[in-house]
Formats: sequence, structure tokens, C-alpha cells
Amino acid sequence: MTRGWCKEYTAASYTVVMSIVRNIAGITKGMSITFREMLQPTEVENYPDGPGPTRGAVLQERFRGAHELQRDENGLEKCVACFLCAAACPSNCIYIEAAENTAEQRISSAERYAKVYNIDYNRCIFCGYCVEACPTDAITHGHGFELASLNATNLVMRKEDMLVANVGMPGQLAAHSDSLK
Amino acid sequence: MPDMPEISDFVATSTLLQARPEEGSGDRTMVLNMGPQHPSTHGVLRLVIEIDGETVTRVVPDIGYLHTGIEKTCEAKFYQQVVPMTDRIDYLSPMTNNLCYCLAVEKLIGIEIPERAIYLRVLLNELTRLNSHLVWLGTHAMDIGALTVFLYTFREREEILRIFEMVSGQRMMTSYFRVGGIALEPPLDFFDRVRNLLKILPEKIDEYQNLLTGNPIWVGRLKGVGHLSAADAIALGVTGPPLRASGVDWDLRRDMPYSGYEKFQFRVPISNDGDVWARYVVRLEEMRESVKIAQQALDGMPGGPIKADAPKIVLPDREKMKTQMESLIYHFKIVTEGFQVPAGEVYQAVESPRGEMGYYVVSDGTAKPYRVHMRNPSFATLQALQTMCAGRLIADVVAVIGSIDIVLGEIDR
Amino acid sequence: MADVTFTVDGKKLTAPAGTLLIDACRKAGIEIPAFCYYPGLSLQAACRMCVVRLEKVPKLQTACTTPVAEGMVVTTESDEIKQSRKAILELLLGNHPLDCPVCDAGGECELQDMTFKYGAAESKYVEIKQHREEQQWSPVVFFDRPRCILCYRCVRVCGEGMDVWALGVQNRGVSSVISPNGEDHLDCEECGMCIDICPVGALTSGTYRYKTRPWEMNHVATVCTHCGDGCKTTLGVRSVDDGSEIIRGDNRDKSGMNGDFLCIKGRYAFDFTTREDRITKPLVRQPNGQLAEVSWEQALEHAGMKLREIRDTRGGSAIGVIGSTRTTNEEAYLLQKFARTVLNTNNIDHHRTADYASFAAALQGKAGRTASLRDFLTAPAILLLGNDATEQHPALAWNIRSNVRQNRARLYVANHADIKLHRQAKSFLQIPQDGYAALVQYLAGNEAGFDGTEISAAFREALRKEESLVIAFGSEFRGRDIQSLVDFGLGLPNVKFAALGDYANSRGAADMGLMPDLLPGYVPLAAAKHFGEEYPSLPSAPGLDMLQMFDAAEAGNLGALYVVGSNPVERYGIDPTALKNTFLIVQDMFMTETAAVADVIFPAANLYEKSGTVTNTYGDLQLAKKAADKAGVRTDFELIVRLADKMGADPKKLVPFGRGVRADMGQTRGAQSGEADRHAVWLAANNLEPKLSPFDPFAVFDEIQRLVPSYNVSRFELLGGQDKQTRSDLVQIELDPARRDLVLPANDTLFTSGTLGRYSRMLHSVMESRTTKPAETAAD
Repeated sequence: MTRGWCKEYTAASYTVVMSIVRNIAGITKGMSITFREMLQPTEVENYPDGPGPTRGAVLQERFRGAHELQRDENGLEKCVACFLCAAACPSNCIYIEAAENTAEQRISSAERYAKVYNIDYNRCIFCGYCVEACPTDAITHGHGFELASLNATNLVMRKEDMLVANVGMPGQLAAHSDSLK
Repeated sequence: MPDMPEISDFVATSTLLQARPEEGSGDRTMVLNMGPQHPSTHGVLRLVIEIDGETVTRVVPDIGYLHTGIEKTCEAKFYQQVVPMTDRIDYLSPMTNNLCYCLAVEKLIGIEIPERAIYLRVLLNELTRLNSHLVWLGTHAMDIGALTVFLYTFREREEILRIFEMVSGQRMMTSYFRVGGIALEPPLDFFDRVRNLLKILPEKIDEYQNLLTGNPIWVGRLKGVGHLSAADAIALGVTGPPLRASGVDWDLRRDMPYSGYEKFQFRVPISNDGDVWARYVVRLEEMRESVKIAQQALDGMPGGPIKADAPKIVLPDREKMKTQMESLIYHFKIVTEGFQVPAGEVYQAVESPRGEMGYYVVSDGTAKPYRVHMRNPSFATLQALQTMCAGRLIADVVAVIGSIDIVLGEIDR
Repeated sequence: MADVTFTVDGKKLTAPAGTLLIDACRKAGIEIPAFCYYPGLSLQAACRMCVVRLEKVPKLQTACTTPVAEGMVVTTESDEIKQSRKAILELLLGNHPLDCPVCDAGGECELQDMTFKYGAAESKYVEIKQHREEQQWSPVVFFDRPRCILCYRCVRVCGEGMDVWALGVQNRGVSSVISPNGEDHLDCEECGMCIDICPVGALTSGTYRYKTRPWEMNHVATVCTHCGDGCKTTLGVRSVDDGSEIIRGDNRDKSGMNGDFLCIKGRYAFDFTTREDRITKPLVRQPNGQLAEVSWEQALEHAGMKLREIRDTRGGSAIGVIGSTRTTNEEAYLLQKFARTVLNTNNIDHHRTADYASFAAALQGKAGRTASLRDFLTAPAILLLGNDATEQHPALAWNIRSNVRQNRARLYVANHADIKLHRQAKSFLQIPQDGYAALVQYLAGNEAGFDGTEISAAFREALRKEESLVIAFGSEFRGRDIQSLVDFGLGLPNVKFAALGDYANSRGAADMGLMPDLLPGYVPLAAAKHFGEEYPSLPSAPGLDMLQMFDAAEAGNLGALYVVGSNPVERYGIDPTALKNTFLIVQDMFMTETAAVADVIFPAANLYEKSGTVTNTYGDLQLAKKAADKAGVRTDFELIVRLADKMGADPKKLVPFGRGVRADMGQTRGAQSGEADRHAVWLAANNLEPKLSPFDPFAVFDEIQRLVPSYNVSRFELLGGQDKQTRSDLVQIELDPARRDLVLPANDTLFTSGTLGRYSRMLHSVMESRTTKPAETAAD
């Protein structure tokens, strides 16, 4: 009787002890990983306090950010207002009004140019279809991403907002263009 | 003049949602509202829970807080324009959605996809699965109280997202696949970067396992919780890891291969326990298998084109488009008028990280789909919540929700 | 002709002998591509796209020049044919510039469509493309030579369709080039048909070029606002800052009576809508004599108060109303109802350009005697008396030419001038300018007063032999002359008549009773019993007509004059000082001579900016739909209702809206996805649509249909965009023989259009170019 009780007690205490040991072992194993990770270098993009023009954000080359309208080597706008981007856009966010170039005022290299070119960033989903559709490589995705605004009306970007500066230096322009090529 | 109908006639109200104590239960039970803004409901899920003390007697999910009308929107878009919509269905596995939709339309048209595109699709899909499971593991552990795991899984996920960004231009809304292939050739150092990632992933998965598997709290919260029998799982339409955790050996990649999965060697992990723990184990094992598949895709990556030879479907090469009249016309026509898909209907299912994701596409022969319907795994799995939670404690509901890994985006669409 | 049976792609087909294979196939739903083949024009067989394989014929044959024959076995699809078509397209594209992104045709280019469907996906030819500078041939026609595929459609439509022959082919073979016959410019009617018919972007339009894309526009099918032909036009509209502007007009779908024809006015002269000197704010003359912009509320209040004061103190007879020939039927009807029930006056008139009242009186009770514009396309014989249709009714002239060319119809022309249509005439009779009445007498057999010759005798003989004849007469015929012409015509076996008036809704204005002595439907005031309910206080005495009104004004007896869309001061040469004691309200788009002396000016919308129905001079009723929009202006309909409201009248009595609202407001699936809302169409067709607004023209149209039996046409077909003949035989009218003839023909030419033409820059530039010829780039 006593022996039997004793035996049962021993078995039970053995189980309890073993489970405690196992739990401690499990936790130790977990903690050892945590401690090891503590010694690893920090993996944080220090945005917005980091260095560089992106303030620490790391962007891949193909990143689809705010659109840029490119110029050709003569400084003329590449966009010929063909409306393919507007047709390709799944969210209908591109609005264009085309007009004809005149001899006195030449805006683009072809017969027509975009008098108005608006992208509504309230609607844009950054899918890249416009860039894919553009037959003249006029519209590209730049790397701009800080687009948030407290006023939705500010989010309709006009041509002047997106057009790259006319610096007249082909090399410099090439660096901006074709981010999706 | 006929009687005007009552407004209530038009408002779809489920009687289940009018949660009130059942007859005869007296004042023993009360109704608890969980969500739609609750940290552990993963998105905007609202649960109406009837409790008896701390025991759950009934769980009724109330969905629709994330409804965006994507299915309807698809009907107004050209076939190629639907791809960016699919990204936004299950936002944790955009490439899987892209793939499933593209496969469905390709099946309707009947075009052959080049080998390289197939391999790239498989590779990116397995990375997507890893990405999704990493999010699941991190958030699931966080729900249970193990905050550290989240930091580690998101570190690895970050690298996958960067790879996505590198290849497609976006971290999450990739829109990278196209009907007939892939949008762009991956950049030069893409494969090296994936190779490096695959090299470190197995040991990282070991790490997560070591962190959690032996942890007594983890074990206590997971083991025996949220049991779902194989019969119930099948009856409720549960698919994916929860189904396999209930002992049903079913994986679409192996049993109904698509996109060349028959060429890859992998194991389908299953468990017979049917509880939250089993789902945890199954998913962890799946991650290891995914790494293996991705590795095979990487090793066997063939050369060649990434777009099908179907000039009326696929946009022409950019260089040709700029120099050749025919290509320019084809480009112009496809962009502005889309491509026509033969009339018919098709259902294409793929194994998403959450289970069977299916796209049902009906074409009336025009350039816009007549109907696009998505069969989403989370939606079906959510039905099993009641079965898994009834009779358990409220705290278990949180563990169960984590274990079925829902994405509200695909439930509400 | 007898039917023949032949086999196409294994399918047995039957068609009348002589049918072209391409027509027979297309009718059976078998597609055969073609650039140069154009229904209605002569055959060219220039493009070789329509090649098919005929059994037992060694080479591929062109389907557009092969008539079907008994037992013919045709294959339209085979590898050989595919290869042939592909090769043709490759050659066409060989020197085609990479212009799609800038070309106007992009998106509706037949070359694109064909290449996408039948062409290769990649170019075989890598030769350097030859560039040629673009040429301007006229203010509206530009030619880009490298884009041309030499289908000769433009040459043929200009020569055969328009009878202008301004375009031709220079050189032969590989160096063929389309060029104007007038060296470097077009000497033509500037109709723009060549641009419209061009399958590619070689000929481009001066107004549309480089502006937009077909898919970026809304396309609204409506009715042209210029002449009395009522051509159907599809306006391409895009939204701009202050509404939406019209960019182009065409009728590519051939949906109307005019087929694909539009003249220069219909195609280009919509630019008056966007002129910057359009009035967009109400103006009220201040005590200092200057006009000043005021709010709508102030202007309406002022005008309404003043009108009410004059009516209450001096009586309705001291108020005059002048309507327009370019407003919708609903507006014309509403205006006269407003005059007769709110202003209590019958002093109402409009600028009459044809004596429709006498015409209606002559034809009453004679069913099926009015000719539609369509009839001129099919009638075996046509008699044209007076009127220069080429200038004043271009669509009529087009239909007549087409009929003569395609069906060998016999055209008889009698005119005082040597009009251009005489070239199509089987018989032409030149008569003195005042000899029309005598001519009718002569034709009827009464030779007194007419200088008969051999030609005229032959003319009369030929006419009398015609079994079926359509008679169109110009405004030279009035009053009793119309009666005698109709009497003569009814003596012939099967005759239909058409009276030619000048403006888009001249006929409608007359039909709707904008006359001092006649109510809508030409009901004389004395017989107006059934108008009792709607017109409770109808004055029984006839009012003053246009000229009497101005006489009264000069004598100081006209307290107020309400002018809607009309410019009587200029048109009738009125001395503006005659109106100095009259309170003048003008509704117009521009500061016309009449508006300049007004006390209140309301900026009004034009026909392109409103919905309603219009009746062309042949009595064809059509639906006009709102296409453009201009911020600041309001429709005449709304202005009349608001003015009545300000005068204290019940708008519900004026416009019977809100009655019979029993429609359910459900939408069909179509409405949500942008297709036609079939449910709404059904409701509208069954007159069940809810007219909830006092500005709903269809509420007034209900009343018109109730009170004017001749307008009781199928509403379903009308709403579907079809033209419906109104039925003059249902008119009951007894005209006073001494009724004053006030018809003043506008005598517009192809390049003028009354007030609207004066404000169209495009018409001006075309007219200027005709005096100074352009010579920019020499045609090669």
C-alpha cells in the first residue's frame, strides 16, 4: 500500500520535474536565440533621419514612385499626347488635353503635345501600366514617394509638377529616365 | 399604387447577426462584440461572440467592412487591367492572385507560356508563400504574446519584399504577371539575391521553431485548442494548411498541378491533430518545402523569352514597337482596345498560402470580362470559426483566428 | 433581278443577280476586308484586300468587283488569301510613318484595325521611310502624304458624291499621289467628306486635329442646328473647365436620313458655342443706360415684375413675343403657351422662312402626301421647283445626287437660276424669277401667262408620264401658289410634297403655333375648343404679327417685347430707336443687334446644349440630345418657366410635370455598367418615366402629343434615335385668303447660317480663304 502510493508519487513527481526541466530547456533555447540576435547588427532603415536625398529610405531601381515626364536630348517634351497612358490606366487617373505645336512655340518634337497633363494621385494605384503603354518613354516612374497630403485637392498633379527640369544635359537626364526599362 | 416596401426588406440582415441570448438560457449568456477594430482580428473582422461566463457558445463573423467591389470593377476593365485589381484581393500574396487570374485567362485563350516565365512564376509564388507565412507567424505569435518572433520574421520578410520591389517595382502591389507571361525581365542581380535569401532561410526557420516550439506558454496556448476534424473541415470547405492540419492530404500544387508544378519535387506536410498546434507545425514545414521549390526553380531556370508568342495578346517588345509599324499598331491596339478573349467560362484554382484560391472568369467574347469571381480560401475557412471555438475560452478565439490566417481583403473583396 | 445561288466557304447563299460578291458576303455575315470599296461609290479595286478564291479561276479575284453568278464557288479564308492580305498590308506599311501616337486616326484607323486583324506582327521591310511635308489644302483640310494608302475614296466621294471634283490622282503607278485639282488648294464646298471617309489619318480636319482621341470623347447623337434639313450628327464632346465643348461632328454610323453626309456647317460650324464673347451672365440695363451683369435672381425678378406690371396695367395686347426657328418644339410650344396663357396675348410670331400654314392647309386630309428627306434617296422621279438645294439644303442635294447616281432617278429642275443640281437633272427649265406661279399653271395645262417652248413642253410631257414623283418647292411658293401646286400634283398618280424652309426648326416653330392667328397644329383661334383645359384664358382675337408689333412699338403701343433666340432688328432692318419705349427682354447667346438695345438679356443655351425634339422642313421629327454644356447659360425652356414663375403663374399649369408619377425607380444592370438603361428606355417609350422637374421637355411633349395629332408618332422609335414623319393630313385648318404673307427667306449659302454663322470663326476663315487662296507648301 505504502509502496504503491510511494511509487505513484515518485512517478508523478518525476513527470512534473521532467516537464519543468523541459520547459526550462525550451525557454533557455529561445532566450539563447534572442541573446544571439542582440549581438547582430541593427537592420533598420533610419527613415526619415537617414542620409541622402531619400532620407534613409532604401529604394530599388525599378521602384514605381511619383511619375516624371521626360524631355528628349533637345530639351523638348517627349510626350506627344497620344493618350495611350490614359487608355491603359486601370483607375482612369490621367487627364490629357492635346494641342498642336506651332512653328513659334514648339513644346514637343512631334506635331502635337500635351497642353494639359494631369494625374490624379487620389486615384493612381502605381501599377505602372502608363509607363508600359508610353510609346515615347515620356512618362516614367520616379522614386518620389512622399506624396501624402492633408488636402485631397493638392493631389492632382499638373504637367509642371511632373516635368523634369530642362537642364539641357543629356547625361543627367538619362539618369532619371527609364526606371522601368 | 402598390404598397411601398419597407426599407428593412432591402437591407440584408442575417438573423444570426441579431445576436441575442437563446430561448431558455435565461440570463446566463451575454454578447460580446470583438472588432472590427481589434488588434487581433487581422484587419477589420467583426466577431459577435456569445459567451457563457468565459466560455464561448457562439461566434458569428460579420464581414463586409473592407468591401471594395473589386469583382464588379473587373467587369469594367480590359483583361490586362484586371491584374492590378487582383493584387488588392489578398494583399499578402499578390503574386499568387496575379498568377491565378493570368492562368484562368490564359486557359480561356489557350496560349502556351514560355518555360522561363513558368519558372519565374513558380519562384515568385513560393517567395510569396514564404512572405505570407512569415507575416502569419509573426502576427500569430504576437497575438499569443510572443512579441519577439514578429521582429525576426518581418526582418526576413523585408528582404522578400525588397526582392519583389527589385523585380516589379512595388513591394506589395506588384502587378508583375501579365496574361501571356511576365511584364519585365528580372534585373541582373535578382537571381543572386534570391539565392542568398534561400541560403539563410532554412536556419532562420529553425530559429523561429526553436523560439516557439519548446516554449511552455506557446505549447499551452496552442495544443488541443480549436480542434477541427477532417470531416468538418471538408464539409465547411476549409482548404490549405488548416485542411492539411486536420489530416486531409490535399495540395493543389501536387494533386491538380498548374503552372508547371508537376516538375518540382516537394513534400506535402500533414498532421492528424487538427488543432492550432498542428496548423503551426504544418505551416512551418511548408515554409521549408517552399524554400526547396524555390531553390529548384532557381537552379532549373531556363533561358528564353518571358512572354508568350501571341502578338495579339502580349504587348510587343519595346524596341520593335519604336521601330516597326506593325508592332506599333499592335501595341496601340492592345493598350487602347484590349485583347478579345473567346467566349466561355473557366475556373482556375491555385494553392495560395491560405488554401484554394480560384478565379472564375466568364468571357462574352469581348475585351472585358463579363464576370470575374474569386473563390477565396479565407472566406471558407472563416466559416469554421464557430466549429473551432464553440465551448472554448474567449482567449482561444484569438489563437484560432491567428491559426486560420485570414486576410480580410479577400473575404470582402 | 432573278436570284442566283452560290457557295461561299461551304455555305449556300442566295442573292439577286448582279449583286457584288462583297455585298452578298457581308450581308450573310461573312467578313471581307476592304479599304477602297465603299458602298455607294464607284468600284476601284485598288487595295486588293478583298481578294477571294473563285473556283476555276486561276488567280485570286477581288470580291468588290465580282458580281455573284449561279453556281459560283467562293473561298474567303485560306492560307493563300491570308498570305495575300498580309503581304498587301506589309506593303502598305512599308512607307507608313510611325505616327500612330500623334495621328488623329489612331483608335479609329482602318489600317490599324486591318493590320491587327489580318496583318503580320512584325515588319519585314526595314527600308528608310520617305518623308513628305504635310500640306494644308484649305482652312479645314490637311493632307499628310506618307500616311495615304491610295484607296481613292476621297477622290470618288468628292467627285461622285459631292459633284465637286476638287480632288484627283496625280501621276500613275508607284508615284501616284492624291492632290487637289486646284494646284495647291481645294476649290470646293469644304464639306469635309474626304476627311470623314479617309480610312487612315492622311486627310485631317482643321478643327479636330491633334486635339483628342475617339475614346476620350463622349459621343452624342443629336440634330444639326443649322439648316432645315435636320441632319443627324454625332458630336464628339469633351469636358473643359466651364462645361463641355464640342470637338467634332460626323455621322459615321449613317444612322440618320443624311447617311454619312454632313456639310461644312454641320461638320465644323459648331465653334460658335465656345466663342469667348458668348454671354454667360444675365444683363440688366441700369438707370444710367448701361448694361450690367446681375444675378439670375435679380434679372428674372426684374423681368418678371415688369412684364406682370405691363400686363396688369396695359393688358396683354401691349406685350409682344417673338420666337425662334432654332429652339426645340417643346420650347416653341412652351413660349406660345406662356404668351397665350400667362401674358394673355396672341401677339406672337417668328421669322417665317416658308409658308408652312398654307402647305398644311393644302394637304389637310390627304394622307401619305408629305415627303420625308429619306424619300429623295429612293424616289424614281423628283421635281425641284425653286430653291438652290446645293447651297440651302445640302443634305437634300446629297440625297438627290445619290439617288440619281445609284438608282438613275429622273430629276426635273425648274429654277430662275442655273443652279448646280441642273447637272444631275434629266430636264432643266429656266424660268423668270417671278414665273413660278405661271409655271404651275402651265404644268397643269393652263398655258396662259407662260412662255412655252419646246423644252418646257417636253418637260411637262415627261413629268406627266411619271408614275411616282416627289415635288420639293422653295419659299418662292407661298399662299395660293402652294394650293395650286398641290392641286396640280394631286392630279398625277402618286405624288409627295416637301416645302423647303431655312432653319433647323422653322417647321417646328410653325407647327407649334408661334403665329398670331394659329395655335399649335395650325388650329385657328376660333376652333380652339379642345385647348380649353390647358389654355383657360385664351384671348380669342388674333394678335399682331412681327411687323405689326414693330409698328405698334414705334407708335408707343407696345409695352414689352420678349424675344427668344431671334434677331429681328437685323433681320427685318428695324430701326432700334423704335423700341426705345418698349421693355425688351432678349434671350440669346450673343450680343446681337436686338440684344444690344434690350433691357434684360438672358444668356441662353443653343440646340447642342439642350434636349428636346425638332422637326425638319420635311416634317421629320427627331430627338435632339444635350451634347455640350456651357457654365452660366440656361435653356430657353428653363428661362420661360422661371419667368412665368416670377410673374406669379403656376409652373405646374404651364408644364404638366409631376403628373402620373407611377414609375418605379429601379435601374437595370445596364445602367450601372454604362450601357443603355433598358429599363429607362422602356419607361420612356411607354410614357411612364417620371417627369419630376418643371424643366423636363418631355412633360411638354406629352401635351404636344395630346393636342397636336400630327405629332402623335411612336415615341419608342423617336427615343431610339429614328426620324418619324409627322402627319400633316391630320391638320384641320381654314385659312383666311387675305392672310398676310410674311415669309422672308434667309437665303443662306453653304457658308452662312444666319446669326450662328456670323459667330462661327471656322465659316469666316473658309470664306476668307476663298478670296485669298492659300499657297503654303506646293503640292507635289
